[in-house]
Amino acid sequence: MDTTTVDLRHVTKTFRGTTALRSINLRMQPGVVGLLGPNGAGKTTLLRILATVLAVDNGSVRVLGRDVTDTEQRTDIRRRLGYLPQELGFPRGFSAYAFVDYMAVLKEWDDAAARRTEVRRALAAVGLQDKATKRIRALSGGQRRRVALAQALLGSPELLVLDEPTTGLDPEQRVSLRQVLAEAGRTATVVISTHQTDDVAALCDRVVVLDEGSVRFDGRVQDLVNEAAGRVWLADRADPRASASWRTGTGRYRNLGQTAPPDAELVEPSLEDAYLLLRGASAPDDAEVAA
Amino acid sequence: MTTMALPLTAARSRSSLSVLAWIEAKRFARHPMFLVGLGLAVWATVVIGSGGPASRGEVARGPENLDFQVIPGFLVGVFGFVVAARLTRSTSRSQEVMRGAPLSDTVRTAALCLACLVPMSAGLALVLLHAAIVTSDPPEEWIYGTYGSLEQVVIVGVLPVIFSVGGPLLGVAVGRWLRFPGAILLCVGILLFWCAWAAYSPIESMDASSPLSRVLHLLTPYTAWGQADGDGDVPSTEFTSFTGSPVWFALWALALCGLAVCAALWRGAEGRGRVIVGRSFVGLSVAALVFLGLAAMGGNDEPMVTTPDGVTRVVQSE
Repeated sequence: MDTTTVDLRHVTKTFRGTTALRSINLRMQPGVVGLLGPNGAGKTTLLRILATVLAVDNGSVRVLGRDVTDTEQRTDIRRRLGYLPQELGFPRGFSAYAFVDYMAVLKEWDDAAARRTEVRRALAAVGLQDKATKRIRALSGGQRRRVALAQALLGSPELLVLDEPTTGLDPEQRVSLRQVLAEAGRTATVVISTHQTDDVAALCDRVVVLDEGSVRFDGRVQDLVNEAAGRVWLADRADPRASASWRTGTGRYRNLGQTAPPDAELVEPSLEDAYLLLRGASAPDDAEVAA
Repeated sequence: MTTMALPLTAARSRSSLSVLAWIEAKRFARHPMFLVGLGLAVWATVVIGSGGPASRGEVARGPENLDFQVIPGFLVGVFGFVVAARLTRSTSRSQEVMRGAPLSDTVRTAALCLACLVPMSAGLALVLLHAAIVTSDPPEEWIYGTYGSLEQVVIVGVLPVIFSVGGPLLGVAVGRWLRFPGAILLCVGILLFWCAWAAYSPIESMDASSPLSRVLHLLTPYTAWGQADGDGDVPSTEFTSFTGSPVWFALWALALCGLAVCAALWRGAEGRGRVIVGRSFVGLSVAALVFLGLAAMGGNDEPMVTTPDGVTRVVQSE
């Protein structure tokens, strides 16, 4: 049985002469997929296309077995879709409950009792049941992000498209969110764009690395990590030949590269190491390394 | 956080529009600016309906009574315009996520248009309040000038309701189309200037019987149909009935309401819906022009003055 939920073929998208996506081919099945890539790699563009809010210039996009270019089929996709954009503003004067309730109506939850139950469930799923009646304006950044996430979880969608869902969340909230998304990923396709490689490592079955609009890697997380095996070293000083190098909390330097620095110790690579090596990062800023 | 485990499916039905309209109607009714406008309109209705300050003295109820059709409806309409535009734009910051929802922009706009039934109901309530006041203490017949029974009903009972809903519908259209900062304020300014100028100036400052004057007078949706000569201290001694037909004007104003709805719905409409909205817009535009022409050609050919003794004469152009 074909379980493909997302099928992108030769998808290209250009904004005012800048190519955001170059002939992307991707197929996704239920599970959690992590999208990694530097700023401007095309992650958000790809997610907006999956969320049916952005049309492609070339190529074909089928989501949940439907063609996104057909109006009725697109509406059907939206009925089965949860979308968290990278930046979401909220209408003025809304409480958390009112906003999620409003979104539930837009998602055709017409029955008042069923909608009330579902809105409460979604708010509870992100740990905001106690803040439901608070004005969104009075919530913290992390709480607002969770309100935005709650609306995406409405109706337990078959496809969840989440653009940087963990931004602004504290470690406990991130772990809780991982539980929510891992549970969702058992039956649904969850696509997450993030800069947090540890989230991807902890949560995703599969990782897609985008760079300059092209797919640089597409496979299992462990496969990407394995590619870095034998190329991550701990040494007493930074190696100028390394792709990336930074001082760790122990005072030693983590060096990513083909050759061993003097007196270096080979260590197990992380997903972040593998990602940086894949990109061939030369500067911590470029590679978004947190020293 | 708790673990998500409820595989619920959204209950689909065609009632989404009514559910959304109900939510928007509640937001409209609770909006502070609408409540301020409504409060002012009630105050104006009571003061004017009770005769107003100019009715003190030997004249029991002054012709300012007829101005009722402009002032309370204008207040509800203009404040409602601002409220509707703000409600329409309030969700623009969430546009990205709302575009990913199955309910289309068109449905959301239609819900906002339906929410304009709130100010329309307010206009109707003001009409009933006015009716209650004048029924308990009927005014003298001369204050209605040259207008017949049907025209009186339209001016006092129908136009205030149209005025009350027309402004908010225009507000929805403005909210959908004009996104730059200050757009609402600018539109209110233009509306106030245009109404203040066009409702009276063509009658007072140019040949009142000229075609241009008659059309200009009718072009503003909040036009006046009469003017009394009294002020706060001196009771009115005459009432001027303006040119044109109030009945056809009401239809013209209704067509404008329809055009505002079409303009609002056009933005973001897709496929067949866009075709229907486009055709409706064209049809209503033609109807509006016809009604405007009939409103200009019907009714009084020239402004007429009526005095308390029932004498009516043509206003002499300067």
